[in-house]
Amino acid sequence: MSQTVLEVEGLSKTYAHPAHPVRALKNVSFSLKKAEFVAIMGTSGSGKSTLLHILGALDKPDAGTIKLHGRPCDDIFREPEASRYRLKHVGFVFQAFHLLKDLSAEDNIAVPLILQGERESAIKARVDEVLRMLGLAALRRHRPVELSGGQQQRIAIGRAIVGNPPLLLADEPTGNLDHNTSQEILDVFLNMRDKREQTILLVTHDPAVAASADRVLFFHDGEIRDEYQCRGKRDLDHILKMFKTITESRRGA
Amino acid sequence: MRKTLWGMALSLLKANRLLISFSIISILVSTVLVTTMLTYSLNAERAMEQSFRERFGEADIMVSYAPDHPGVLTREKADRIVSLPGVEASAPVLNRFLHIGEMDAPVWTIGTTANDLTRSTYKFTSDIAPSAVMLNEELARFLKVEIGDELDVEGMTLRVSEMIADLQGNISIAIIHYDRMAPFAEEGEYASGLLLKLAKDAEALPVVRMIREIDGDLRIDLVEQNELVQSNLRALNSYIIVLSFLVLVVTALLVLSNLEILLYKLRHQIAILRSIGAATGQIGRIMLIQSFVINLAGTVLGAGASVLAMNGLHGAAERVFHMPAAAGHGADWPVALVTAAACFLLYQLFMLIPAWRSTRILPLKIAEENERLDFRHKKRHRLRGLGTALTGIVMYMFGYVNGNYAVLFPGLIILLIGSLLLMPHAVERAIQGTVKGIGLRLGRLVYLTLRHMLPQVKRNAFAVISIALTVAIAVFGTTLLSTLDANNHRFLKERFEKPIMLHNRLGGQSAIDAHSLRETLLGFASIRDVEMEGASLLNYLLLNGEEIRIAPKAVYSPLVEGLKDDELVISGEMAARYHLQAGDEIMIGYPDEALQDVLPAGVYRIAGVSGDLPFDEVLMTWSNPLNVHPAVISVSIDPNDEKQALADLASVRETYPELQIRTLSEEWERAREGFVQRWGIFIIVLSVIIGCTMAGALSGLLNQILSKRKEFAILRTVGVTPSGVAWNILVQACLYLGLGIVFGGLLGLLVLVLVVALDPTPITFAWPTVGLVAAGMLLLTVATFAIAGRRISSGPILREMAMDGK
Repeated sequence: MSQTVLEVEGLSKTYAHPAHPVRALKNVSFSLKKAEFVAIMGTSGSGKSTLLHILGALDKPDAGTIKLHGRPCDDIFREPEASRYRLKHVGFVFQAFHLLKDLSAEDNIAVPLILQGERESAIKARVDEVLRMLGLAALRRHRPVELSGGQQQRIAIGRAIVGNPPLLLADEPTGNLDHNTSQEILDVFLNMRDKREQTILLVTHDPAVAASADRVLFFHDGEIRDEYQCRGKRDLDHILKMFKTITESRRGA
Repeated sequence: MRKTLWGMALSLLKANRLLISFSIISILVSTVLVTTMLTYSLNAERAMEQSFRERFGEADIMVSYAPDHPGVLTREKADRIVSLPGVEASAPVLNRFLHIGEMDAPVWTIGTTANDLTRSTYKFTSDIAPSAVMLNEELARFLKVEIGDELDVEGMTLRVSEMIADLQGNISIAIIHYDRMAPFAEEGEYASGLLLKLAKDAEALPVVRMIREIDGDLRIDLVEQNELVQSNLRALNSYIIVLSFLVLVVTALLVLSNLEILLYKLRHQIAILRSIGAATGQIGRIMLIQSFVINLAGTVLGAGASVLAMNGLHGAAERVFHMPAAAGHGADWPVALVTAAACFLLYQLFMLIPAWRSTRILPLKIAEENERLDFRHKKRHRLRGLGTALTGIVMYMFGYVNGNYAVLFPGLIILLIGSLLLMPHAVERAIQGTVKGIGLRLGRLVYLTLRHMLPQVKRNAFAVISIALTVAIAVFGTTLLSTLDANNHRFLKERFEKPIMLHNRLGGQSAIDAHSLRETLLGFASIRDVEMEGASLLNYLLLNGEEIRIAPKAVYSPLVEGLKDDELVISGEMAARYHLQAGDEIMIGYPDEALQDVLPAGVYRIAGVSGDLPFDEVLMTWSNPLNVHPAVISVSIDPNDEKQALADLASVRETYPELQIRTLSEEWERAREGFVQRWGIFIIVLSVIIGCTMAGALSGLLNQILSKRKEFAILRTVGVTPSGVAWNILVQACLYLGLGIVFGGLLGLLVLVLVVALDPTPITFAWPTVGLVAAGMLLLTVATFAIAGRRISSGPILREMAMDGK
């Protein structure tokens, strides 16, 4: 049986505002298994990015617990533990890539390993491996401004996985990309799941992207409203139907 | 936001308040620097001349005959001179040694009338009544008189009306009315000398020519040609040229490095506006509005700040340095405003030209150029730097060898430009070398910081060079001041053989017994050694039918140690000319006034030859029969304890009141005061410049760091702790500073060596002051960036990631 990598229990988050406090997350609970690719789908403002930010210790919940490999992560919302958590346990891929634009592709990928104190030779070997895996070996010396969006996102993925984190979080990684490039990126994620048993939690509003995952969690209004296990057949149709149901019930409400 | 171009321009500015503030600061600092330097350059020569006037008086020309000239300056001649065109005021001066007081001490006495010229020259304030005499303070103490006391001056009973401050060199002078001195003048003599003041626009040299036409034998002293004045003005001009260059470069750098970040934003705006269809003219207006607001704020504030700074500092300097109020010149508003206007136009060009260029190329090209981290055509840039530096060296050497300043100074400037062009490459190599050489051994965060800094060649260069120039200015400015100061000291030490000198104001008329005086002095535990000199006498060396004039002098000194009473020490020059050597016997003669002839005095043996003696000087013992006037003229004292020695000497003066005590330390103090008065303004200007460049460089660094907030946030997302980010910031800032200090020290030394080579004197480095500047910068940097680092690293990550700088 596949081991559980992530357990989230009763996670809540409210953004305080004098006139309109925003309850971004309401008692969210779910779990992720090793080598599982889970997509979180929902409309804008449904709380999906907030969830990812909390799981990446970029933001702090008001309530709830998070367990990684069965161990509670109570202290990850305080520095410097937060940074150490991000370094060792999480790889984050952003919609806007967020690369260090003054560094080359290979240097950007190398940053987490440098921070982890790896030897230079080990860093070089690992970075080469990731560059090859991502098909970027020829572009290693290029700076981000010299690369396409898809190439930049692949560098960002490379940076996220180079340290072999147990959990990869991707926030709308294809949001700035066209269909074909998005597909390339998804192939990278799938490749990592298959070859490296990478556990991936990906946020998207795109049903086609969600259909590539193993499981889809439907978010609405800060809650998980539904869940779908992808079977590999007509997943997109099912996802669209479920999404429509949720959004229509929202309108109705 | 108002829905107009103006509104859009201003709201774009408002959205980047911090960035705009830094840009305004850099323009403010640059304006202060330029205004300060310009005001100083315009006024420096005048201020220095004014301080010399304080010392030498208002007279532009002094006319007299040489002491051994037989002629006298008659009334007719004087009238012709004072009526020459260009002569505005004049004063006749008669001077002689007159015997004053009970001891009949011969004192250099000036007979003149009171006007602005004589008052400024001789430093008295009141009128000179025919019954009055003025004395300097030291002379009054010697004569034991005070204001109101009567005093015998060559048989005239005069009343002491004023005490004058002691002049440098401890010269005793007395001043009486011209009419009282007239009886002592030679027949037909109207004046020993004439003091002349020229009209404001009159040139001195034509007047000098006209005076020579009246009498070619007249000796004409031009104050402006006084060697001390000349050498100081030469030094001043050299230093102004070099300092102006350094200030201009650092000003340009400060503006460019800060505006570069602003320009990035502006170009980014242009790219976006152009891509959505904005016309060139519309973009031009937006840029103009934005740059106008920033530049206006910066230059106006800069003009105000420079006036306040200079005036405030002048006030402080008057109190601290005791500078005369009129000697200095604070920045005045007209100069400040004109300079600010010129700076405004220049900065507008700085900002508008790159912005205008961006309107001529396609938006993507703008974006591409905006992201450029390195210099275009790097190799060419490096070669250009090398070529420039080499050209400068050749020009400098050519100018130096041929004494051609018109080639030398441009060569120096070109060499400096070449050095500055090469500096970015040196900085890059330094960082590369650090990464390669020490690498991960510095710690993974430091390594990451260095790797991150490495590609940012232009940004690194700006930061390091602006700090380097600050340090170079500090090294150059402070070291030249201490070199000038040390030269003064050296000059004084050459005049003072020992720390304490006694001078016998009665000269040859004194009856002090040399032996007993020496024994008295050596009897004090506070005095280690005593040397003495007697009067210079007149004798002749009778050799091969020739009568060679010699000036024997009795001394107590190591040069005559072991000398017998019938032995002499002659000069090396005399020995060489007449083929004499130690052991030779020579015939010495003496002048007989009655017979008007030189008669033999006796045979003496040459005991030694000294290369240090002037040609005709001959040393002998005090008991040598040739010492017919065994007066003690001067005594040099080497004390064990100077303070105690001075107290002991005070008691000796009870017995020998004619002895004047002078100490090297007192002379040094007096010379120091003069030095500070002349150079005090330079000290002020240098302080303002160093302070401003420090502020500008640090502000530029801070701007750079703050513009990278998003990047620091990204580092936090991949696991750098907040303290790691803070450390990263501190390492960057300290690395820039460290490199800047090293390069700046080297550049300052290079400039100094090249400038001082023009006037070869040993350089005295002001290491403490330079160290203080470097330490001050280090402290400020650490404090500023520790705080900045803390603030940046403690902000919420998501908010920081939204900060898009450069």
